[in-house]
Amino acid sequence: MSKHFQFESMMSVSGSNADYRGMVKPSEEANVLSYILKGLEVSTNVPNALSKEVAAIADEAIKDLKAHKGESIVISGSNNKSVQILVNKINSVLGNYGKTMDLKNSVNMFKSEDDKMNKFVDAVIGGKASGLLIFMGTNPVYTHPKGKALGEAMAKIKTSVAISTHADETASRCSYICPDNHALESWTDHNPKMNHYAVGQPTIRPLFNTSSSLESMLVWANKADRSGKDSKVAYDYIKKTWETNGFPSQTKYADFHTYWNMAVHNSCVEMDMPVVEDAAPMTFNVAALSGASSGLPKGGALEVIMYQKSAIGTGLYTANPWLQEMPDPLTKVTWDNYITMNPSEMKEMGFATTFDQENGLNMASVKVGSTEVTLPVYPLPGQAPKTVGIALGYGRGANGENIGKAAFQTKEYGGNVQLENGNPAPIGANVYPFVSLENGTYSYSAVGGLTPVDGVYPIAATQIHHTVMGRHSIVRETTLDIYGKGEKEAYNPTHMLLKLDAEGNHVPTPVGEFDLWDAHPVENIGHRWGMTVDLSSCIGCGNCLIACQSENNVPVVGKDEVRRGREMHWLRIDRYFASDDETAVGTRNENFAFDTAEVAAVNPKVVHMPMMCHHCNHAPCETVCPVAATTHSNEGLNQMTYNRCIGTRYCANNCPYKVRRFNWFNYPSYKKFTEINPAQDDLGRMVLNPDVTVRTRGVMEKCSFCVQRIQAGKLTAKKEGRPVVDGDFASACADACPTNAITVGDWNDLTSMIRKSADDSRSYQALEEVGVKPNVWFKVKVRNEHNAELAKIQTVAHHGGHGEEKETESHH
Amino acid sequence: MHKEAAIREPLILGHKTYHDITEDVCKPIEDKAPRMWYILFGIALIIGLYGVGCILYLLGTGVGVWGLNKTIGWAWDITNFVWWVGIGHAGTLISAVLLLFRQKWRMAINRSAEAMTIFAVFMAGLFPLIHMGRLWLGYWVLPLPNQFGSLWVNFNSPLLWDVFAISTYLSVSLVFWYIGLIPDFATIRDRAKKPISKKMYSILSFGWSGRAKHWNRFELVSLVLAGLATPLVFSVHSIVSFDFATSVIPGWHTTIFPPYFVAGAVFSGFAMVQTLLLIMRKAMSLEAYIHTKHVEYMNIVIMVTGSIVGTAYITELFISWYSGVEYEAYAFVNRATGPYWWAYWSMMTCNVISPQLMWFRPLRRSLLFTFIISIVVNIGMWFERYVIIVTSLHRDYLPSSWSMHYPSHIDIGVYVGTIGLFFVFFLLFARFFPVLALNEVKTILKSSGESYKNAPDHGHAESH
Amino acid sequence: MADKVIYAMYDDDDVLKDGAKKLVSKGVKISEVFSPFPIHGIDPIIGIKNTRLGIMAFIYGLTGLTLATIGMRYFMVVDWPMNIGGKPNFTYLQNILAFIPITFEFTVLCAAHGMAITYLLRNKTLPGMPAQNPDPRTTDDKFVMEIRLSENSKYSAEELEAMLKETGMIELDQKEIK
Repeated sequence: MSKHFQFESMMSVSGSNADYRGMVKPSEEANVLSYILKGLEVSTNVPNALSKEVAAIADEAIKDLKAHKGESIVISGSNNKSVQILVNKINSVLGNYGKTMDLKNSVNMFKSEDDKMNKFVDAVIGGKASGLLIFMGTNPVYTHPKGKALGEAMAKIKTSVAISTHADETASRCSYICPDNHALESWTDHNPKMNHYAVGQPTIRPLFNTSSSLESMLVWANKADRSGKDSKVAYDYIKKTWETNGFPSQTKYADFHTYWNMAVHNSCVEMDMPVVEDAAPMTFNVAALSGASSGLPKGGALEVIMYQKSAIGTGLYTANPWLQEMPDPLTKVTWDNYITMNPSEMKEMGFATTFDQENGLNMASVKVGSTEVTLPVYPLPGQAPKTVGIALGYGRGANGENIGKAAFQTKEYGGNVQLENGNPAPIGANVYPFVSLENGTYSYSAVGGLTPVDGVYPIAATQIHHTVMGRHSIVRETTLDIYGKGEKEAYNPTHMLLKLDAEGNHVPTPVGEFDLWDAHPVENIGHRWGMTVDLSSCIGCGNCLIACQSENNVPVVGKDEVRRGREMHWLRIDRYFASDDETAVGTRNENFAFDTAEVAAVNPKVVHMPMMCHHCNHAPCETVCPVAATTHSNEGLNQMTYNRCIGTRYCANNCPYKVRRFNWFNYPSYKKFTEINPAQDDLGRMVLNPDVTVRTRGVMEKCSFCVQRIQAGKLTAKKEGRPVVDGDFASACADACPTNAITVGDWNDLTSMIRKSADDSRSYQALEEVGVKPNVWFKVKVRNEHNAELAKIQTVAHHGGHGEEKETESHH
Repeated sequence: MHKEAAIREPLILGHKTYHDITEDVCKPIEDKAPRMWYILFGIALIIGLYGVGCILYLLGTGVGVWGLNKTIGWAWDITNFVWWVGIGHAGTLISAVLLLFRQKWRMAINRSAEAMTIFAVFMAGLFPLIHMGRLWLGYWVLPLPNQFGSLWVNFNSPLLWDVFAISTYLSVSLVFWYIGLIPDFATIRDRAKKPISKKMYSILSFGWSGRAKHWNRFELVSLVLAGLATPLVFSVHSIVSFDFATSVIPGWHTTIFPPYFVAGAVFSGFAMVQTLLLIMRKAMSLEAYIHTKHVEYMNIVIMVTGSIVGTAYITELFISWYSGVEYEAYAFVNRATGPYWWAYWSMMTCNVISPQLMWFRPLRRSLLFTFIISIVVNIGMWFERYVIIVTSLHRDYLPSSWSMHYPSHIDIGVYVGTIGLFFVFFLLFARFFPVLALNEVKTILKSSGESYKNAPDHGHAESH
Repeated sequence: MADKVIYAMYDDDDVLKDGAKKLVSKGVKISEVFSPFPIHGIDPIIGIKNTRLGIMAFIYGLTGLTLATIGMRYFMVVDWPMNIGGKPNFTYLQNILAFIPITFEFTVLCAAHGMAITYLLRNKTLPGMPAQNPDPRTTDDKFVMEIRLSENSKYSAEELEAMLKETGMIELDQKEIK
């Protein structure tokens, strides 16, 4: 199993999944690298002072790196050249180059020439730019730190052209906008990695009067003519490129037509690696190392990190309501950006560290250079002390640019919040101006100052509680050492209750064997759909959430409703921080107390736990519906009959997992949602899946295991005259998961992946002792760390220490 | 002639005759209403109409206008439902149970108490109706043959048991009340001078003539209805408690709920009867018929049921610890020390401490003290239902869905509106219906009337 | 058929009861007593049999019980049994616990309403029916004994009147009925 050490300032998705995590300021990143180098017997003139906790982690890293030379990778996300020199040195010392890191097979994405871009922007601002500017697929007036000045300077440019899908911040200042096709309307090709070539195929004819950027370029180069909506200019050009370059360099396909169809169908083709004659091995430039101490990131009393959120990224998707409403994997906040700060620091400064729908967050203003933004302060455990983080990608449309309906703030009863000049108010604040060019690259951390500001800001979060309260029945974690011992009862103890046997003795029995009544006989006949979610694999990215939303027509409800706790996501990802009362998330230690267990540790461990309907066989929701709107199918699914539901909401109250969602309003028509729910817009409606009902108000809905996909899978098998096999059905979430954490299938099929996964020693069911007999299993999260305290707790048979049930000595 | 012990306090004070009783009860109906009645009625009507407006807005826009969310699906709606139903149980207990126990003191209060029940159950019944997401399809809870294959209802569901229980309770209470009213309407009919009055009470009295055979049937029907209504008191609120007890949520899933709820219902219901009757007796000059003894008896019931409720609270606390179930333990620690601690402690002080004061004779015979405590009890009982429903839901099994509940203006508007509507109904009742059971009070005049008890010779009436 | 009816009014129920006793002992048939409240003990005196409404209530209750049981068995077990929460519904007895509340309530409902409707019908007290008490004061504080001459052939009207005067009545009224 791999071992992941993360040294960072912000609690990121990667950091939350790391085995060891150290909190450092951006200016201390180089210290960590230098410290590690020292541990690898390389001395540099870069300072290496670290706090005690971080040094301990670094020591552990050094030990493991030394023991696994040539089997590790060390990477840094910093743009700082000196930092990267140190990184390269470490990899070189460890012998990673040529083994785990291949410098020859480059990734071509995110390649930029920061200093050239900066020179260009300076030239425009200084009036020295040429008379013709063409922007293609870029928005520097927004994303460049000097964007504001750039925007003003563009008025002086004689001819400026933007090829863009929106009249965004840059395009609206150009003399001409050439509306580009949407990516889904275009033929494109790509070279993301050195030996990978991809063809992008459109899925729909251009809806509006747009034309592809490729075609525009060809027309302007006098190589083609405009041909309207059904233009084949781009298609022909790309196909020609592939015929000339791709087809000849392979031998598998004899005729181009078949080759081309294969390329389009597979969408990516892997070419043979070009043979490199020059076999001189890459060596490390020692001279560079001595220069590393200059040009390091500067430190300060407060360092501000400009980060990208998983959903919004650079701001490209500001107008995508699904992404705005996607809860950030760590903060679970939607529709806003904010200043992240460690709760322990916030307490000292008098900021509120808990919040709910009516009690918002306190505000502060952060100043970097000459720019100041005022935002709410959010308590994010794991944030390095003396640092704050603010997400990029917000504050778009500051001048009312037409960047999309959902990109602006909405009011409680619908309509956009308006600025004084009548423009709609942007969401959040733009912190691109905080970015600065340092030594030829852009630095996304800076030294700044923070001042508290009066006022309370309502924040829309889908989760307001931080910890799992040591509830071992919900989250189970163990370490690789304990797991490696092979004793399931240590890391995944079976929940036992006492049963009376025939002689009247009390015998401990697994709780799964208890049942108040006889089961329905169909449960071992036919299909029984089930799902396992591997907590070790789940990284909390949120792909499954968006996949589910898109597949099942889950409505977007907007900030005000999310704040009131009414987001409609069928699948959510619960994020639990460990408290100081827990040795591992979900495992109490001896000083467990209810009040302190609510507070996350300063640098906590994190577990991401996707939660969806468990399709319980003894579903508490089914029993209580007065009109039988929710029943159990003979394939194990909990069925939700939308057209029967009269909306008493008892089923939602009775669900121990709280996975049911109620349609509080008529989302497809009520004015509150006009700006943000795609179903209310003629163009947006095209996003709805025709295989799934759109629910009306007053009706309950929840995860259906993508029953429409189950039925489609069964139908395919039926049409092909064969039994349903594993793989015929995949739910949207399982399909989309990048780490294959979710496995679905027929549990009754003994050869299926899901059956094997569910029978695995790491599998357990959340809240098993409640007795609802769910069809979803979770798998114990295994961390590759040493946790002596946990090892003491997780020993076999004697005292499980979990507190809920009475355990007796079991005699094995 | 039924002789009653001389040491028992008389139930009818002063020198009343049968005619006096008729006069005392019918005069308020026949005379013009006092100004205060119009003022109170106006206020109640305005508040009630505001509530109706809130309800119409709710039905037109969606349940989202309330303060509910994905974690807390019920809050003020079901709190109010249980509160009103609980209040309603006192009337039936007074009418039915006290009849079976031959408690003569019920005679003066049962008519208005039963009226209170009916109006309270009207208000209670509103909430399950309006809390539905799709009220216009509410008739689907009835097992009527249909064209969906005949899709029947789910008889496993406590909500469906509620449908039958509440409708049975409402209709049987209504019937019981009305059958008792018929002879009294006849009394008013026979006294009525104005033609509209006479016509109205003629229709209402169904042609009652007071024949002996009819009285024979009347008494039996009253007894049987009492015998049927008594188990209703216990079963209906037990069924309402099943709405919670049959769930899996910690704080709800507990077998103590049926007796606890029934006791709580009688507790709050008697408190409401006290509140209403203490005002009504003064406003309608019925002090001779409803006086300290009645108040004291009712306070004793309040004390007993309050003590049962208090015992139930302590039992719940004990079991939450003793069971060893961490979710149950947390549920109660959260109630006492979590974000809703103020609701929990209001409930405890109002419901546990106040009825214990009734052990002191001077306090339970004080009308002023009773009036104040009765209101305190009802506030406490509202908080009890709120604590049970909201604090159990807001922090249940998965901490990721822990949430808070804040009522919206519509939540508050509907609740206050039902209080207004209740008073609209009750004021109309007090204005047009006999608030005392005339025929029943007359039967106890000779045994429990003050003048008869103190007279040396019982048996034949004094000439007057 | 033509008949003469004597109405004797009293202002005290015990006086009427004693009087009725005396008259009945003398063989007079009292056809009806009108009172504002039930006079306990008058029924055996004037020969009113106990009502059988109680039995009817019981029968209605049994009907309710039967309907509820058969009904729920039909709905949940026979016609469209569904898997609701995994609860077994292959036989009525397996699921009987869930059916008890409604069975009980329905029994009470049928018993109560059946009896009430029967009561109103038997009494012929229904909306719109006219009042039949001979004097409006009988619903206030006066008690009236009705004696029909057709039922009392032994005595003449004057004899009856004399007897009634002895019992302490306060008013007398005679009516001819065609």
